[in-house]
Amino acid sequence: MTNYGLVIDQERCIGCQACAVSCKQENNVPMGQFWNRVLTEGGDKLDTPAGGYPEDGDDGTLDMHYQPTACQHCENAPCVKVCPVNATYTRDDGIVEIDYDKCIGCRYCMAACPYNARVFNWDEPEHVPEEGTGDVEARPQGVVEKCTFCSHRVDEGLDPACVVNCPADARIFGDLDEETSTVSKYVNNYETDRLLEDRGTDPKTYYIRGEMSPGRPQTSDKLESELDDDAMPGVPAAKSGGDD
Amino acid sequence: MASTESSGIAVPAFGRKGKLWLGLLGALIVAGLAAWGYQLTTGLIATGMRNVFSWGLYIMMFVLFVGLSAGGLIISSAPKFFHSHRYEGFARLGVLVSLACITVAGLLILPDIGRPERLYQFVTSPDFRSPMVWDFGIVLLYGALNLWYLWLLTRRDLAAAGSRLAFGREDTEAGRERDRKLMFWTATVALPTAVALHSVTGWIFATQIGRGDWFSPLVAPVFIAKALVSGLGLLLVVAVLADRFTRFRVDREELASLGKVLGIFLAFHVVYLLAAERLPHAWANHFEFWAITGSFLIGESAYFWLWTVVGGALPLGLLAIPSLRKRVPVIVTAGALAVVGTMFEGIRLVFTGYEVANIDAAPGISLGGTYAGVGTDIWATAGSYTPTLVEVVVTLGIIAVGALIVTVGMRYVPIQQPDGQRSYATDGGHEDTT
Amino acid sequence: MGDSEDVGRRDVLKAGGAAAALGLGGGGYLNALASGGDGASTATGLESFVGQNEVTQTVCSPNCRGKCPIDVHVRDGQIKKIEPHPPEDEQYKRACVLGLSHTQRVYDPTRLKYPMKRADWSPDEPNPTGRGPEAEFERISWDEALDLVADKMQSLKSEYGAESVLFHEGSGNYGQTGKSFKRLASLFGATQSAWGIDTNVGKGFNRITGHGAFLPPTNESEDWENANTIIVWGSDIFSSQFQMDASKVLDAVENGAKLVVVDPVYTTTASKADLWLPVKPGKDVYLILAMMHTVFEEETYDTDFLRSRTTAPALVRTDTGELLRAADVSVDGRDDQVVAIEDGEPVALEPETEGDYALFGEYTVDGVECVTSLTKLRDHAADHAPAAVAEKTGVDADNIRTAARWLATRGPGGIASSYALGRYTHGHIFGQAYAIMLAMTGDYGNHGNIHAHHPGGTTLAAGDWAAPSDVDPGPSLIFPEYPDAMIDGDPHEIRAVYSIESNMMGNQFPDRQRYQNAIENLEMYVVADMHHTDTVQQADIVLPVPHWFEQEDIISGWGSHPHLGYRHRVQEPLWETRDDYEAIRGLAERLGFGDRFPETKREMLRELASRDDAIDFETLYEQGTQRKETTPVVKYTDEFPTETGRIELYDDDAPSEEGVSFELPRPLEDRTADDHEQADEYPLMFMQKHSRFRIHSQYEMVNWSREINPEPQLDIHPRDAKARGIEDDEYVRVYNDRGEMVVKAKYNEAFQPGLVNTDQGWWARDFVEGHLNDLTHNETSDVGRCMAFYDVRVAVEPAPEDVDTSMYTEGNPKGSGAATPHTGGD
Ligand SMILES: Nc1nc2c(c(=O)[nH]1)N[C@H]1C(S)=C(S)[C@@H](COP(=O)(O)OP(=O)(O)OC[C@H]3O[C@@H](n4cnc5c(=O)[nH]c(N)nc54)[C@H](O)[C@@H]3O)O[C@H]1N2
Ligand SMILES: Nc1nc2c(c(=O)[nH]1)N[C@H]1C(S)=C(S)[C@@H](COP(=O)(O)OP(=O)(O)OC[C@H]3O[C@@H](n4cnc5c(=O)[nH]c(N)nc54)[C@H](O)[C@@H]3O)O[C@H]1N2
Ligand code: SF4
Ligand code: SF4
Ligand code: SF4
Ligand code: SF4
Ligand code: SF4
Ligand SMILES: [Mo]
Repeated sequence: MTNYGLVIDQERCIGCQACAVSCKQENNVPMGQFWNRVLTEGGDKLDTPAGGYPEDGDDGTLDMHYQPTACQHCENAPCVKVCPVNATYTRDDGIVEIDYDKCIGCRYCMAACPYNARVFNWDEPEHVPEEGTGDVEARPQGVVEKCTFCSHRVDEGLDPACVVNCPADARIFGDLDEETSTVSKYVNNYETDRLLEDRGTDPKTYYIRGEMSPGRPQTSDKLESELDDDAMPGVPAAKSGGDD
Repeated sequence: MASTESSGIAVPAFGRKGKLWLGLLGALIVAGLAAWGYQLTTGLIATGMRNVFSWGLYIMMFVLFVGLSAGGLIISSAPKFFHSHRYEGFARLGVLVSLACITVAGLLILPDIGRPERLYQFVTSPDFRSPMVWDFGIVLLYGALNLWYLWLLTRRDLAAAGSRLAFGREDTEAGRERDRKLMFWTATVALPTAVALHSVTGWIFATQIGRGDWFSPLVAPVFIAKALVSGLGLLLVVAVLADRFTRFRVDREELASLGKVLGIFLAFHVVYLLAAERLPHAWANHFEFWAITGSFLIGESAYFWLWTVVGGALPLGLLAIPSLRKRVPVIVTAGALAVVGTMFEGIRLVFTGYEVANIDAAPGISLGGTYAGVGTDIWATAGSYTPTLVEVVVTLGIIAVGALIVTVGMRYVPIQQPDGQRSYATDGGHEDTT
Repeated sequence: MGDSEDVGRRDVLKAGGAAAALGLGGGGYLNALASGGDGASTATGLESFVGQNEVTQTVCSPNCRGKCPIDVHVRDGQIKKIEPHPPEDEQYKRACVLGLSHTQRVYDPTRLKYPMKRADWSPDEPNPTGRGPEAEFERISWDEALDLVADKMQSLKSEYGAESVLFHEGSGNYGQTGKSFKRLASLFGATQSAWGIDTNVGKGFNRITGHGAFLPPTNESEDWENANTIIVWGSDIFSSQFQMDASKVLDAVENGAKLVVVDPVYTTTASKADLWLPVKPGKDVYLILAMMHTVFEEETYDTDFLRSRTTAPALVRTDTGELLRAADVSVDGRDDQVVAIEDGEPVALEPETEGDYALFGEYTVDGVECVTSLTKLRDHAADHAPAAVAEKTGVDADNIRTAARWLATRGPGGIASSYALGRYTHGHIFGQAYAIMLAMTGDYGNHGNIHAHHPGGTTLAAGDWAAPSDVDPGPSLIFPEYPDAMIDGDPHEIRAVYSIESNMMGNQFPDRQRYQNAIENLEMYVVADMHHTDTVQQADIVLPVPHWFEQEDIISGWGSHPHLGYRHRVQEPLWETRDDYEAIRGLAERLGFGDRFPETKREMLRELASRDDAIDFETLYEQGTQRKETTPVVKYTDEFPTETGRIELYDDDAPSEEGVSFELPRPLEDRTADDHEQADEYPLMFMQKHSRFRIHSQYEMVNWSREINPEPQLDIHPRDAKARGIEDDEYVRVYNDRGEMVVKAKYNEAFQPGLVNTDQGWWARDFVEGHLNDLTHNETSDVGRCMAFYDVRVAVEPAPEDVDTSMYTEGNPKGSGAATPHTGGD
């Protein structure tokens, strides 16, 4: 079975916001809404560190990381379980998706999602340009929406937009059930965290912290399964496997 | 005249004040409808809710009114379940108030839904894992149950008075006998249904790991306690008001006795459950007295103080002082405070879920409000919420519907147990001649 | 286009201040613009366009280090989305958040649509005081516009000489237009602009190595992963340089390179560093001298390199301080050769020659007392030991030593120096210093060497196109010289300006008020641009240029990657916009040089391409990109283009400034000096970082990035803020003796106390009051001749009560969190 997942190397991520904005462009995310937010783990503001500035020549305690955050596509997704009308569901390939024609707009899923990954169309959705930019249908007012892992692209054999557009090669998408896939290798070989793991949602988005990974060079927009093997330079061979 | 009096109708006809009251309710309802209409055309952007705080006044009031709807039914059915005829005088009014409250609760869901025209999906595509589906079902069931129970309690009197609301029933001794049995069985169903309603509503929150204090096994018991406190509080207030403004008469002794019961509920709710909820954590964290007290008391929101002090300690104090607790104004005040306190507890519950985001890094959560061009600040790292006028007016309109139900009920349904009538205490056949 | 034309026209012509004309928000615009009413969108707006999509490959090319090949998706004649396109050498695939957002730029209401003339301007009554935010414009035809300009140029030529017309070129686009612009200027004899920005550090480096004008050349970024130590010096490389090439630096780090960042600010780049040296602004020369001292002390210098490729062994006369010349010691010795001691004997130093030359010591040659250059340097560095400079620079002495040790002992590496250091008045000294430092560590000519924070990339070699060999071009003026020329006629009068690809009045130039005064002396100010910028608002004649997607061009990969890119047209120019080349050619015709310019731009491009042997027009056209194989990946492999053919450690004919002579890198500070005369009045240093949310003033209007970065802010350390009673997010007034601006304060621990920042590139309309370039100054040093944007002092205080901040605080519905809860109905 296919089970899509995403790895984000926070050591590589430079907070450039390309993933956040390409997501909006690709998916016609309305103005005022983000499916994918690049958060600053640090101070109270975007691009500010936590800690104190070095005084009198010491090293200080400043620290900052970027944490791109979208729907984590939880294996045990609370949003799926609470949706009263089956509008939110998990696809066979593990992608958590919303049937926008079914959604009644009760926002129970928003209450349920621990990651604030979902947004609701409070207003008539607005796009600049008005006709939108992306390759998917716009959602009407009154329904909830969120990251789809770009299922419309994945279905066509393409990597998600945010993955293709990451200039730091910090995002790797693929099939977690396929042991030899790049995502699986990264999950196995690098120390990864998942957000709010204690909540038991079992997210399929993994964050690398500590040791930097080589990154997956995005020289094509193709999903890994659509590429021939030698088109994948830089993919680490499994070290010893399965130490995660 | 005489016949209406003996038929137990509390408001035989609307006088000037009555019409004024009806006019006020009508005006509120019309305003509420207009506001809802406005909200339907503009969308939920007309509310103060945003992505970071996605449930607001409607859900807060839903929680309150689900709770309020408990009191009446429990007061009227619990004694029957135990074959007692205590608080008989409150039974019908209680069920009427319950009916009104559950209607208000149900209606409050409508304006909260983004696409109300798709509500049929609840029937065509339900997901039975969702506590909301259970709640949806149980609210309907509970409403129906109230209606049935009210009718059951009054249908013989309605028949006696020749009301069409008897729907062809006749006032026969045998019929009354059968109804007594039916009432026992209804009570047997009603009590667990009430418990279930409040638990399920609690579970809507309590099953959610994502939000602050929601994920707690205590939420459901607390909801039941809340229901008891607020439901009884409201019933007492309504009863006294009815006594004041209509022909409905309360039995002073029963009133005082119910006041005492309210005190016990309050003590259980505010003192015991709060302690049960907090002590283990506080105890586990620090052991010194002040540390425990501190984590108990410090760093709480205004809502916490409103419900614990204004809605808890204060009425409890009033009801605990023997010289005060028998006085009607005191009972009314305590009841009203209990309702207000419960309201704030519900508000607080919703706030604890949204106030703090689990992941609160900057820039935060996109709010999803109106986009006004470059320069629009669209982010928040913490939830804050103020209802808009639209929400307030819609909510008042819906509450007015509840008040209207009670008012109309008083006019057409014999809410007063007719004097000298044999008790409906479900004694399983024994006659009581009091 | 009937109706929609009117809409568009009114919007631009209404110019009641750019802000009013440009308005805010963009919804509803595209319909009116592009489709002329038909093809209107459906009520719900969007539909999937799978399978109905045309993709055109083109290039994004502002003045960043990107020059990214991109794919533009078009459907129903409308531009939809942008994706990066891998160039011929696909490892250079890139594109940043801005390039990906062009769709919002193409259709933005700030786009210029028609040629315009300031309403109260005429050739004979230019009415210069009518310029400014209140200026009104009227639409004219292209013929009218070009006639007006050509006639006025001719009349100025006969009255004041051709050089009274200044052709000013900014950095807005990296196509070939500039070359034709300069060609026309040369033919006419106009004054041409000479770059006075970003040249400081390169000048110093050039003096020592013979390489570099802007930053020195450095290995192409594909080679960076071979570096073992990268010292990023004064660059937020992950925000302002390498947002598109970040992967290369990260790959190096992943390969085990040590990343050192020298910056007063804890930047994104610093957050990735193994070692961060939080230097105080302007103290970098002290710091690098201390690093040299460490290398001397620990004797970790590269002896072979110093002997074979530098003048380290060259003798310096103790009496004159000059280098001993071969001509001084032997009759047949040359005057352009310097002398070293080999086996106790003086020998002339040949370029690229190994020998057992003495690196240190005092020698007497022919009775002349000498010491080696390296000895001189060592003694000089000894005055700046790490412990001695630690307090002054704010950097811990051990950390200084560690950085030096890593660079000197871990194999190949380098210093990725930036332009920011050159934004201090005497920034060229640092250029000199690090050229020497890298000579000591032998980091030239190898894989893994780094000399600048961006690679060299490549350009189109077009021979004498810009300056035809058969004509005598006019003089040139360095940017900072403009005001004096305009106001005082020094060195000569400037009466008209034709400006392309520049936002000089809104971003490019400091001391906005002074330039404002200066242009009052102009009789004609012609500005070509694609947006209604602050500069356009000052113009007399406005020439509307099409968006890049409506142009055809060959894009250079300068400072970027080793490709040229072909900019294919994605759509026809909107409205009456016309390529700069057409305007230039139109003017040329009117001025009598029509035959010197091919008729179409395509022909011009073909002609230019034919002049560069390394590329082929057809290939470039077809492929979209062509890697210029002649661009070397590793730089500095040959003899240095200096007098001696070597890196000249000791510069005996060095210039001097303020009594300090620069034979060796001697620290000299301007406003950063602790005892500067304005230190009390204006206690804070003020810089204007280059932001990842704009390339200079371009992309300011992009709605997507404005959602993330909505308004100008003042980064300030909380301690500095609190000392002034400034709360977080409060509006502050930033001022000095030149001007002021009002922006929102942003508490930021990353900023060194004493240093504040507002990112550059905001338009005047974005400021509550003033502009950041009201605070900067136009003074330059004699050597650097480079605008010193960061060498600025300011004072900061809470904004006065009556300042109107409603543009950001009101009508800005934030939902429930809004300061004033809105009760329904909006
Ligand atoms: N996204 C984006 N990229 C750009 C541009 C843009 O506008 N936007 N502009 C392009 C252009 S034309 C240029 S010239 C370059 C500019 O590129 P840079 O010169 O690298 O950029 P700056 O942001 O000016 O400064 C970089 C760093 O220098 C630090 N700094 C300031 N003062 C000092 C000092 O005294 N000593 C040291 N050691 N560090 C100091 C600042 O804190 C800042 O982090 O960027 C290019 N790239
Ligand atoms: N205070 C402060 N000011 C600074 C700096 C700083 O650090 N601090 N940095 C300085 C630096 S390093 C630089 S390089 C300058 C850059 O300053 P500028 O060279 O002015 O750069 P841009 O802001 O990109 O403006 C270029 C203009 O060209 C227009 N343009 C784009 N393409 C075309 C075209 O094809 N034809 C025509 N006619 N116009 C076109 C764009 O719309 C834009 O308005 O700014 C400097 N200004
Ligand atoms: S992140 Fe939130 S929305 Fe996404 S699957 Fe998990 S719970 Fe659902
Ligand atoms: S808002 Fe829509 S998707 Fe979310 S729970 Fe309700 S019906 Fe399901
Ligand atoms: S996978 Fe697609 S939908 Fe999800 S964040 Fe990335 S771009 Fe957005
Ligand atoms: S695009 Fe890549 S580097 Fe940029 S913010 Fe997203 S994950 Fe980080
Ligand atoms: S702005 Fe620069 S880095 Fe960004 S896409 Fe365009 S050329 Fe590339
Ligand atoms: Mo620059």
